[in-house]
Amino acid sequence: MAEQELPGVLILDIGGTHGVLENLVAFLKKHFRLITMKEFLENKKEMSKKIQSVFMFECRPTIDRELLESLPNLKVIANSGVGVDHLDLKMISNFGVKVTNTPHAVADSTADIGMALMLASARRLVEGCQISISRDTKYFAVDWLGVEVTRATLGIIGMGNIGYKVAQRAKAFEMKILYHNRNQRKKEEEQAVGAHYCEKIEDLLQQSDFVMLVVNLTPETCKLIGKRELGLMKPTATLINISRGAVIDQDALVEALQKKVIMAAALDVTYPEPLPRDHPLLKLDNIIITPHIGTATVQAIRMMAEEAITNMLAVLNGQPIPSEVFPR
Amino acid sequence: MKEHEEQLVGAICCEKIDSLLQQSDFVMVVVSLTPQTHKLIGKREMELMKPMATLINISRGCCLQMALKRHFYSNLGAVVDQEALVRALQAGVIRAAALDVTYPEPLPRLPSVFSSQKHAHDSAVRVPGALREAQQARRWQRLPPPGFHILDMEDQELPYVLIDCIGGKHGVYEDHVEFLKKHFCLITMKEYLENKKFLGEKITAIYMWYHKPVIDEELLQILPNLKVVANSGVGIDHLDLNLLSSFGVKVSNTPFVASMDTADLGMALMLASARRLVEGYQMAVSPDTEYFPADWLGVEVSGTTLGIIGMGTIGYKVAQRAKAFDMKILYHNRNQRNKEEESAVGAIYCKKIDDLLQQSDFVMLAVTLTPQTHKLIGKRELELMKPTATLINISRGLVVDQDALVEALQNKVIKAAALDVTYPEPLPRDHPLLKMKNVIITPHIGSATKETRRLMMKNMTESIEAALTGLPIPNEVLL
Repeated sequence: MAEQELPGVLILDIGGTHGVLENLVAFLKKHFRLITMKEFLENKKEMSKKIQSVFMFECRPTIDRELLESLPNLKVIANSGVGVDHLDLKMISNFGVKVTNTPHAVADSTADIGMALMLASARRLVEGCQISISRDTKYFAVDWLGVEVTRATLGIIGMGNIGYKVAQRAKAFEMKILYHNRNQRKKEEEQAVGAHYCEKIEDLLQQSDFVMLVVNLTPETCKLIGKRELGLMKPTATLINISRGAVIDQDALVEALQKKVIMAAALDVTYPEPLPRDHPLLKLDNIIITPHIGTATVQAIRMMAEEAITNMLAVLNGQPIPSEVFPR
Repeated sequence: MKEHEEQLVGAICCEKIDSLLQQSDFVMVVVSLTPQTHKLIGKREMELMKPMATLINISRGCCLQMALKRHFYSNLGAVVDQEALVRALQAGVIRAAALDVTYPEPLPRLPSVFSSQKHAHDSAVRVPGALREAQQARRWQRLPPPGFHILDMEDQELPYVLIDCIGGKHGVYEDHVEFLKKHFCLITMKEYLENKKFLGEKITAIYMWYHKPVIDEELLQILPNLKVVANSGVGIDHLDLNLLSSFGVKVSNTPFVASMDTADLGMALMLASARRLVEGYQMAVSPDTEYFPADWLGVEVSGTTLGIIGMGTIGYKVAQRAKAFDMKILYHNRNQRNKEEESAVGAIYCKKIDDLLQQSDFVMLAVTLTPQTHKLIGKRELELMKPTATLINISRGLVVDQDALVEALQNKVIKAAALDVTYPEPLPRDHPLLKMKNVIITPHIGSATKETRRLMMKNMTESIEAALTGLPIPNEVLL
């Protein structure tokens, strides 16, 4: 099949700081003709008709009304990753364009990061590393202690795909698992991980040693964790966020950590990313922040591209779409 | 039970005892003692129970005579396997027990059962309200049956126990002292040196907290009545066991309490290394960071292969955790574990260490340090590992040939290392390992949690008391 006959897919760029990774490009090229934003803007007339899909990588390119209006043959926007809070689903739907995400590719690696953050926070791993290499270290103090993960209580807020995988892992650490979700899971699913449903989020917050946020970002979950919720948590508890920064009222979190309303936090996501360099969260010593690396593994990036490609091809070939996302 | 009887009290029949054990917060044993109910509740049943559960026994402790000295932990005629119960309480497998019946009745003055405490306020034996005060004041009194069982240790001076110091960088923790002083007369090294003549004769035990006080031949010679050294932690490679034995001094350690926390740290190191957590944190907080680059990647843990070298208590707990991450688990051990243990965690035995090294994405060391395991991982072993592999050490620094490791990391023979232990600790400040980007080092914190350290302290207390009363010592280290 000649290159021109392959459906066109719009990407931001190849390589560089925000572009699609070079090793994924070869992969995409098997099924699509790649058109970068630069190429498109230089030759809108010709390119605009060829573009049938957009491959979103790291939330780029930005999808706005202007772009949608200039792509008459656009059928699908395939997002890398599961969160689509950066997309205006209603607006896109009005243009007759489908949106897909990659829920399967992200689940294991994001659950792993949740566990990694919980363990690193509880055992003060980052601080420990700093002590180990510091020029000033002469001895290791024996009264330098963290807290236990094994047999502690983990409260999972958001028990979807990723939340459930977190529960599976936590069970192996003999943790007591509570969860709060829009809907209760089936009995067999609950029993398989030993999870107890908390219909009221308050119950979960009051009993947990570790609270992990694994929800989607929606108007309902925006600032789900604010001053009130932080006040309900144990003073010895740790808040872990692997969902989206906006799920937490960040100012309330700063205050809670400064006043020791809760003991610590571990965040893979903030709002914005990165935080401004003078943000108070960066100055606290009872917090770990990682640069949104929930799916930042060689394997996961590849799986996301595969899943996105599968979705795009399904749309373009009129077949059942594995992971379509609908406006609410 | 008949259906209407069930409905009347809202009882649910569990045809399999396992089902009841797994779901109950309180398990109450109310059977008659028969050959079928003998040792009904043993190690297996206790492990099925929730870790926060309480076992209550109002059925039978024992009804047969036995020779106390030889068969103290013998299990003739008991519904509850008492030896297993003591271990389960010590290791926190279950939270607490409340026993109206034991074997024998009354129990001899063995502190371990009564001071087994997972958390500060729980005790192994609850006695009717009015008498609890008496028990807490540590006055034990033999009373005839029926009903009440309290033990008395009248007119006994508290044993003199040598410690290094209290507080500061390596001393006994200040918040442990209150508990210890209920059991012992604590003598610090300083106090001892000020009054060697008198105290030398009095000291019958050493409470060794993090390798201090240092025990040498000189010290042993001037403590003629020393019976036991209780060591914190599981490693005893810093002690000369032969020397201590020659002085007739027994040794105990705390092998089980730290096992879960050490396994947790092994997992934490593996995840932190694979996902470049420490580097990521530095980027997230660095004043120079303007954006997060898209090509900054770590590697997966889920679905990859973990090779565990040393499948003892800690190694096995690592395997249990790793299984939940869908890891393929290989292990190398002096002896193969039995089939049920292997299949419970999906672990495959590698008789030859080479096979494990060649196939693993992560190699985790969980052996004890012995002459055989000294420099177990050297240049040859590192070269057998995949160039994409990570070495994780939660055992002892000396298990790895450290110079060979530095070279292997510099030449990219292996990809990365994550070490909770080095030799020495801390490393000299100019050591090459401290500068490498692909190495994370933590300051020997495998058992560094408040909960575990408190449990260690209590275990050590029990070991000392057992040794001083001439009874079998929990966690004794034998030559």
